[in-house]
Amino acid sequence: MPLAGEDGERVLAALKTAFRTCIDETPVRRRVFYDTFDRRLAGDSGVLCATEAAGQSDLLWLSQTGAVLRRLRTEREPGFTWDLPEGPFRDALEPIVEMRRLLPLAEVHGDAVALRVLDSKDKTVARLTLERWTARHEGTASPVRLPEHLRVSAVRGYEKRFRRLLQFLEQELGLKRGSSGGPLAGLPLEARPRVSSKLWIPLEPGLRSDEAVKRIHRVLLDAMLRNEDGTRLDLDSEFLHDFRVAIRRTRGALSQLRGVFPSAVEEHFKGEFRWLGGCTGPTRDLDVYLLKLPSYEAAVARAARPHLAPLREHLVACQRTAQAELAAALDSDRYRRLIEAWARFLDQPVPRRSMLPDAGRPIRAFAAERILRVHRKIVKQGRRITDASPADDLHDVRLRCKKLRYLMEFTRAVFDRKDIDTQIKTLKRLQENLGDFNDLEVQAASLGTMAEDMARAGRAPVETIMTMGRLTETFERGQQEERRRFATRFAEFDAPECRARVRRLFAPRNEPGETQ
Amino acid sequence: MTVVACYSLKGGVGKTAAAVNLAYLSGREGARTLVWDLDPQGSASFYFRVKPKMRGGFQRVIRRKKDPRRAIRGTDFQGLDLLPADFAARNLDLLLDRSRRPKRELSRFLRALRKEYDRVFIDCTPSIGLGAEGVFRAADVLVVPTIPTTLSMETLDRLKKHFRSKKRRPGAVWPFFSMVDSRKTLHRDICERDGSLPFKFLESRIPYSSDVERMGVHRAPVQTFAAASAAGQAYRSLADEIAGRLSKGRKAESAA
Repeated sequence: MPLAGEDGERVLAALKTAFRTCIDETPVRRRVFYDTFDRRLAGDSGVLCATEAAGQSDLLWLSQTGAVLRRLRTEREPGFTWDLPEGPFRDALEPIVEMRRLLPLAEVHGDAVALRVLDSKDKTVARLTLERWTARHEGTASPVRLPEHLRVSAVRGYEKRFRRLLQFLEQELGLKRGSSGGPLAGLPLEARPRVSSKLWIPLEPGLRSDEAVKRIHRVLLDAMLRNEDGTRLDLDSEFLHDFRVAIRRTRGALSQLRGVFPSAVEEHFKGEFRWLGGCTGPTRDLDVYLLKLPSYEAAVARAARPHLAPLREHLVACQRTAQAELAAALDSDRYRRLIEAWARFLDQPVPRRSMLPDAGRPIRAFAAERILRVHRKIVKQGRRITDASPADDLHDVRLRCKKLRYLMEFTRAVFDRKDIDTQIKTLKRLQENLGDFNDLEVQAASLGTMAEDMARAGRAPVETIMTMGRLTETFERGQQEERRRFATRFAEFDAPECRARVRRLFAPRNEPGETQ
Repeated sequence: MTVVACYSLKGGVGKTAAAVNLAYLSGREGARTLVWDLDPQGSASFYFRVKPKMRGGFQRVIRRKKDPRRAIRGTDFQGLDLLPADFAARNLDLLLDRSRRPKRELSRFLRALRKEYDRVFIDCTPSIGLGAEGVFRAADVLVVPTIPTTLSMETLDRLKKHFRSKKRRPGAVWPFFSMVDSRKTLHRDICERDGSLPFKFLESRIPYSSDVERMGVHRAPVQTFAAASAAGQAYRSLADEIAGRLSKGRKAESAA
């Protein structure tokens, strides 16, 4: 129930006169709300809230309406679910939060006075909380005072008393029942909204290529900067994922849309972004293994699952080291210089007349030409692949597909929307097959190396090594299956209607400025 | 849902105190917990200040003619509810005897609550009739408070023999020493008799303490008014030990 002005004290006084009441324990002075960056708890489960009252810390799981679903007495700050003490609280949280990290969403200070309504035997029959919070938001000077609220909750089995209490609050005190909008209502949240990594860059077909490519790079640089902090602090593995995708796309754009900037510039930044991509690799690989660990566990017999525990420990330890190295790279002068120089270059206006032949061409023609070139190469290479071809041939196709995908995604705006999206979807299916084929090979190899490392360091019992060995066999079987699937997927990609679509989409048009 | 029954064939050994304190600590650790006061004396209900009367009538609730969930009452502590005692529970054996599958009746009854609670603590009555058999079948763990005296150990032996003759036994039997008076030589001797005990005892021991008796004055678990006392700490360590064994058991189960 929302309270106007300084009503809180009046309500408390009136309640104390009309009912037997008891002010509960010490008031809560501070509350920190937690959820994952993609707000997994918000869906239907509510939010986590760490409270502090007289030196005691509780972790509350609040429903959307603010009711306490579960309570856990713990001094630990929520991070990953596996950092919480074992027990039903963690068991219930795990399937929702999974491998995501719980991040602080908002912090409020003030007090929450909890009042219990008692019966003649001093038994609690209803609960009320008068909440007066002040929130401070990063970047704002003055704290935000939140409206006073009275939260009323029933005690199971005492519904009649609860109705009587509500009646009193409404009729005698004139309070209005209102939806409070949940525990987070009105709070300035730590905004770390996840921006989809799906690209949509507004471009006009006739735009000069150098101008268009700069726009593409600007979007990618923004994505990098948006995820930089989260990556450095390792808030959640998704930040590094998006950071890395933006770097890979930047490198893709520099190599596939080359010829629009002076070659010295292109070469310099290509080298620097290759270095940066390399810095992010080890941490991401380990993140992926940690994320995949549940599926590894599912892939082995139940009895063998506990044997994978040393693998988790090994991965966690390696990830920590790699993350520290990555954070150091992001704090380095080299990184700072790279980002500053790149931003400066992208912000410079393009020269009115460029000496470079492709710089002044319309982006549609320029992109279509590059797309067609890569597409043709994939078709040629793919058709040559037989069951006897070496795995490297498939990897080449996979890398080309990646380039093609980047090109089409960067320039989606200048082609027929429906056709290009269908074409991207077809390509995606082929990429999934090739990606899985590659991942399984890499995973099998890495698991072998890890098993050796762990055995050498004496950190893995024989059972663990054997279980890892069995996992490797599973990966190899999976890889063979993907290999068999390639022919079907490639046939889809190389189907006549697909080829017709490619012609329709990327065929040269006789437009001014197009040189074909 | 894990069902922990506080059971002993002997009376006055600290069953109710154990059920109430363990349930309170379980609720505080984030488990949605229910105490089922199956003892017609209604001591657990008394500690939680709830009238020892089952809404809907004991018979009808047990036979699920009335929704058992409507009989549950919230306690003074969030996350901890109580299914109150009822004097009619004195006829539990007779009531079960009339049903078609008497020993399964209580398990079925609890099944209706499994989505709402993570843990149920049953405060049993000191008997070994059909009601107790039903509890043995429903419980995942039987926690047996045992005073370190010759007679108590005799009773425990008898219980062991009883289980040996049964096909269906509780998931696990975990006795612990209760009301231990370290001034008494006999108590000390029995507590140290590790190898010759009939079951593997829990390591935590509850001392004989006036704080436990004062639960009746405060009408609340020891933790709420004497958390730092010897009894308060002992219950805490007992709760941790049980929670640890339960989670270990669950891991082993999921691994099997």
